[in-house]
Formats: sequence, structure tokens, C-alpha cells
Amino acid sequence: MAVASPSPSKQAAQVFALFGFEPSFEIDQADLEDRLRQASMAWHPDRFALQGEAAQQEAEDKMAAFNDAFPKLRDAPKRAELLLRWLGAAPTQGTDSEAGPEFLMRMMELREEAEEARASATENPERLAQFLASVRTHEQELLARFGKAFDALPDSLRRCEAVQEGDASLPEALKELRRMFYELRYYQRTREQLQEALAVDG
Amino acid sequence: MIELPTIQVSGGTDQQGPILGIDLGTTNSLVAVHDVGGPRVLLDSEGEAALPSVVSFPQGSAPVVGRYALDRARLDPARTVHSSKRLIGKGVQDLGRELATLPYPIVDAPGRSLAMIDLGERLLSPAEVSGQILAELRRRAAASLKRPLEEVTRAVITVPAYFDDAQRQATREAAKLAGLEVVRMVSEPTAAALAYGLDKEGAEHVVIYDLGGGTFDVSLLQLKDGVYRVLATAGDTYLGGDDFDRTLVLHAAREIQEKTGTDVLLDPAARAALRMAAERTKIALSSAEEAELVYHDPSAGIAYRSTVDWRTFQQAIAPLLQRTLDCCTRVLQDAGLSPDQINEVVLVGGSTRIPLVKAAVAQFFGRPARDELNPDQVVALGAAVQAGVLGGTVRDLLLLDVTPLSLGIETLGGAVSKLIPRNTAIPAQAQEAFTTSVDGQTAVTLHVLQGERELAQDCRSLGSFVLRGIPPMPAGLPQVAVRFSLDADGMLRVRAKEQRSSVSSEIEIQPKHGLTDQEVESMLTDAWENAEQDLTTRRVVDLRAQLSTVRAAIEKHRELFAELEAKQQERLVDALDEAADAGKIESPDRLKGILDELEEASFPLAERLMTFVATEAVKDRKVSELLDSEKSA
Repeated sequence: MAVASPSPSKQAAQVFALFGFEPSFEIDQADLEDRLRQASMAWHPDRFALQGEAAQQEAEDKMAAFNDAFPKLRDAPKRAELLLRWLGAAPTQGTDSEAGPEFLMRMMELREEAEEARASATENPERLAQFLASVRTHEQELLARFGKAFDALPDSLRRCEAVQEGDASLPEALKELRRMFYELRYYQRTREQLQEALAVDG
Repeated sequence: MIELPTIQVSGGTDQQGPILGIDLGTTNSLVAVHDVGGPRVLLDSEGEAALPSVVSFPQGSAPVVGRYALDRARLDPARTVHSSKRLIGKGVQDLGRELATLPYPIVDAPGRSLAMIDLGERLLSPAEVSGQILAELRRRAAASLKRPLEEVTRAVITVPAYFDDAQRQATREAAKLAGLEVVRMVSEPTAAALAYGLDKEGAEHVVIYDLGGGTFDVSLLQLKDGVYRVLATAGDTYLGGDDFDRTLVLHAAREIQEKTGTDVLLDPAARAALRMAAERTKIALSSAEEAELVYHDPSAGIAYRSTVDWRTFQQAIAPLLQRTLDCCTRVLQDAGLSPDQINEVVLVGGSTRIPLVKAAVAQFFGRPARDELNPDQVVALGAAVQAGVLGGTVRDLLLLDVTPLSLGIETLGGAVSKLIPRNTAIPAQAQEAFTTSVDGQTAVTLHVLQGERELAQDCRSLGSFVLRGIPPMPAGLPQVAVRFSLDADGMLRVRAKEQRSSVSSEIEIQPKHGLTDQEVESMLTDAWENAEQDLTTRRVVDLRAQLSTVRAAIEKHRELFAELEAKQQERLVDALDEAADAGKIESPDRLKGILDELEEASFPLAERLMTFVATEAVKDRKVSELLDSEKSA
């Protein structure tokens, strides 16, 4: 899909720019929602209902772009991923390539804990609730750390054009940021899978 | 900050005629408009707002819509279609146990999964039935607004939030058959929210609980600065007041069978009549602790009377209510909110008049639910407000809706790759790349699916299409970009393009459950050829036929008259005398009065007859034999 379309880094920058933001981890939720309302009032196809097909289509495309960008900016984990793309450090599907043995060990423990919490959900609901709460807290902490680390990046790394696509030359600071994201994603997935499994268990 | 349109938004001119707001309901349909005084529902010539969503197709003459069609349900059940909304955009296999309760046979259209009503001489599509209802509303609007029919050509039509792509397509076809262009399809609960105008009251999070005749929807909206943003929606297109009626029908049918040995459900006319009786009982239970279910069929010799108290009714509908509350839980979860964060709960749909429903909703959200607007009219009023938005007369409002169901493509091994997840704001666009699995593969079949399940076989198939002409390449090398575009009506368009060769293909999702363009065209011609109809004549003929059937059934049992009390006997004889003169009476209302009186007067006779039948049965004769011999007599 990379054929003839802007680089992932530029695409990420465009998501922020669409709503009039600079790439940043801190985004005020109320402000973001206000901007969505403003954009919708201007661009929603309802505003062009009687103005012919071309105007309708333009409005539809434009509104779809806002609708697509909005959750990416609203949800902190999605925003973190977007920033990594912008920095030229796009996350990959698997996490194993960069995970150290220590990280893998912790993830295995987490998975075991989740399994136990699920198995004992009926007789020990407090344990389950505690586990879920601790995972959520950890996700929040990771996001806060990610935000701090992002803000602390030197300007040279923020000028995304300077960064080569590809992992070999990736500066350590960006690799570290991406490891944080992988860890966050792992916690989030474990929690979501546990919640889905519980819904199925009834 | 945010780029603004170069074209200035301008209001529509009235030269194109009004935009109607139409609530095409399972049980009743309404039409409203938005003018200087705000939204208002348009009435028919007799001052009625609700048009029963029933169409009767008498053999050899023009269709009859609304109340008169309802009258024909008993006379001509196999040709009188109600609840077409429950059939629209579906195949026979989608209908399940619904099939057994319909008085007419349903078959798939040849070669397609598209449910059609079998009238004997031809197949009738549910879209045609809905088209007749829409055409009637269009005629009513033209008359009420004093406009020529040709100027009334545009409408906002509401659909259940949970309608899938096929159901939305079919609704669009129905409008086309009625000569209406759908400017926008709006989901019913969001339309209701617009009618309430709760943003002006400062409510931020609002839940709309919409339990209609055949469908249930619940939507959670965020309201601010005139923007109504749907955060999540859930529902069930097979849950509504009809299901409440059905529990009562089954209960009564069981009791009747115990008493007489007759399964009334086998007879379409009886089924239709019992269904209407059950509906009356349900409505009565909304304002009383208990209500009678009276079912009387003089021609079959059945007189049934039973008292239903609300506790029995509660037990019967509890599982159905729980299903609606499960949907409420889901929208809260999807929106990431808890019940105490909801500022208002609004009740929509006739079935929310049932006190048990109100109480259950209030308890779930921990607050009384709002119901000050007529729940039967609020959706039509909201549709008119949206028509005002689209026409440019309402400038400070905007509705942002979501898609209720996930959309995706079948991948290798029968799994589904979701391109647009449920509750995504619309319009929406998404793109994903797929590749080939075999060396030298030159065509890819794309199977488009809608639903939440992980496997393609468990989701609703919207259709498939083939991208051909890919140059032979090793497996995995071609890049097929599939692009989904979901417009503001929630309708899907799919495009596919092979990136390396630029071979492309495009479909509007349509073929699987819809009508072909030719079919729509031919129906359009048919519909207008016999548009003019003499309703009164039709009605008089119907009522006379009905009267003569009932009279004959009563006359058969003259020998039992002597067993009635003197007063009862006198009333019955008088009623029969009046009925005998039916041939000279031209007024349909007068004929209806005579029919009602005759049915009423013959009730004691039917009760006698049932005792008689029961006694005979004890004398070792099978009830069915007895009834058969009576029928053939």
C-alpha cells in the first residue's frame, strides 16, 4: 500500500494536522471533542444534502477522514502508536524481535496470573477484580512513562524527516519508547482477552 | 485550525418541494414535515396520524392500505400482509420460527435468498408492501400540504439502528417504488433524540430505549452545542411488541385447544383474529391490573374468554425484557460509561407504554425514564427535524451516527478480517491489503460480511465479487487493496484494486438479498398502472362477504337458539334481520356496525355451542370429526 502514498511518518503527522494539532502525547479530550464537533458542522454530508453529487462526495471523504482520525487521537494507546509512526519507529505486529529475556519472563508470568484469575473467577471474584485493577494501573503507568519519555526526546529525533525508515539505524531512545509501547500493548491485550473470556464463561 | 469548506452551506429552496419525515414502522407508519412552526405529524382525511402498516392485495384489484387493509385481515388473511418490515431484506432461512406464525406462505425468490410472499398467481416482495405504505403516506402528505403529488418526491426515512445493509437497501427500494427519493436514512432512536431536543436542557449523555412493534434498539448519545453524537448502539431486529402479543396468542391457543380440541393456529384467519385480540388485551393491561382476552369466531363456533393478570403477563415477557436490558449493558460497555453517568433515558415506541417495560428500564438506569412525547409519533417528528437539517431550514443541529454492525472480508480458512468495527462513526472509509494464496492466481473472490462473529459462516453475507485480470505472480506477491466506503446512510460500497497492475473492480453491495434493477423497474410500472382505487366500493364488497359468512354460520345452529335466554335470543334475531338487509346498504361504516353487533350478539350462542361440542366429545366422538362434519354441512 506504500505505493505512491505518503510515508507512514507523514501520514501520522497528517492525522494530527487534520485536527489542527502538532504531534504531541498530551491532547485535551474536551478540546479534541470540540474540534470534532466544529469539523462535523462544517463537513458532514448533511450540510451538503442538496448540493449535488460532487459536493456530497467531497464532504463524505472529508468527514470520513475526521471520523477515522478522531479515535486515533482520543485513545492514549492509539495515540502512542501514532507517535511512534511519526517518529519512524512504527511498531510491528509481533513483539518478540526486540523483547529481552526479562520482558518475556514478565509477560509469561502475567499470562499465568490471568489464567489463574479466570479459572478461579467464580469462587474468588475479589482476586479477579484485583488482578484486572492492577493491570489497568500498570497500563496507566506505562502510558504516563511513555508521555514523559516522548516529551524528553531531543529535537533532533522529533524532526521525523531525519529518521530513516527501518530498524537498523533506529536511535536507542526510540527503541526504548517502542519497547514501552509493546509492553503496554501486551498488558492491554491480556486484559481484553481475559474480559472476553469472562464474557463467554458467563 | 480546521480547514473549512470553500462552498458555503446554503439552504435548500422550496422549489424542489418539501422533504417528508417518514417513520416506516412495523405496526404503524407516520409522515411528518418541518415548517415554520417546527415539526408536525400530518393527518389523513379522517384526522388519523397513524397508518397501520398493513397492505391487502385483493385478487384482481388494486392494493388496499391501512385501516381498511386491517379489516381485510380476517376475510382474506393469505393476501393481507402485516409486519412486512420483519421480512424486508431477509431470506427465508433468516426468518426461522417467524415463518410459522405468518398467515401466508413465504418462499425465496428464484435463485436468491430473498423472502417473497406467495400470493399464488405471483410472488410479492416485502419491499413492494412497504412501497405501498410509503406511497399512501406520500399521497396523504400531498393532500395535506395541498401540493401536487409530483412535487412530493423526497423523504427522510427512519430505520431501526440495528438494520443491516440488506435491510437498508430494501427500504431504499421500497421508497423508489413509491416514487420517493431517500435523502437520508436515519436510525429511529437518533431521530427520537432529535425530536426531544434534549441538548437545550443541558443533558450530556442520553440513552434512547426504543421498543417498537417488531424491533428493539438502544442508542447512547452525547449531546453538546447542537451536535448529537451517537457513541454506541445495539439492538435486536427480532424483538418487539409483536413478540409480546405472540406469548398471549400461544397461551390462548393452548387453552382453546384444551377445551375444544381445535388448534386455531392452523387456520390463518383465526390466527390473524387471535393476534388482534391479543394485542387489545396487551394494550388494556397497560392501564389495568388485569384484562380479558376475548376471542370469538362465529363461523368456527369458538367463543373464548379468559382473564390475564399482569403477573402472568410479566412472567411471559420477562425473558424478552431481559434481552433488551442485555443490549443496554452492551451500549454502556461500548461507550465506556456506567448507568450513573447517564443524564436522561428516553422511551420510544408503542411497547414502552407497558408499565412493566417502563419499570424495568427505570430500575436498570436508576432514574425515571422520559416519555412526555407521544412514543408513537416521536420518531416521525425527529425524521422531520432531520429533513429540516438537510433542507437547510434547521441550521443549528447535526446528527452524527455510527454503524451498528462490524463490516469485513472473509479471509483464508473462513475467518473474518474486520475493516470497520461496530460503533464506528459514519461516513467511514477503511482500506486493507490482501494477497493471493496460490502461484499464478489471476482472480480473487472477495466475500463481504456484516456481523460480530469471528467466522464468516456466522456473519451475514452481503455478497461477493471477483477481482479478475491480475497478472500471474508468485503467491503472496500481488497486493489487493480493498476499500470500504460507508456513507452517511450506513450503506456500504466496496472497491478492490490490485496495486501492482492497477486492475480494479467495484460493487455496490446489493445482489444477495435485494431486488435486481429490472425487478424494481417492472414493479414501478405495475404499481402506477393500477394506482387509482375505489376504496369504498372495495370495503362494501368485503363487509357484505364477511356478513354473509357470519350469518350462515349462525343460521346453521338455529336449533340451539331456544336454549338462550329470551333477551339474548331477541338480540340475536334482530341482528340477523338487520344483516339480511346488507345488500341494500351502501355505507361501509353502517355495514361495519351491523357486523360488530352480529358478532357481539352471537357470543352467547357460541358459548352454548362449545359446551355442546364438549359434551359430544365425551360421547366418544372425536372433536375434530365433529368440527369437520359441521364445516362440511
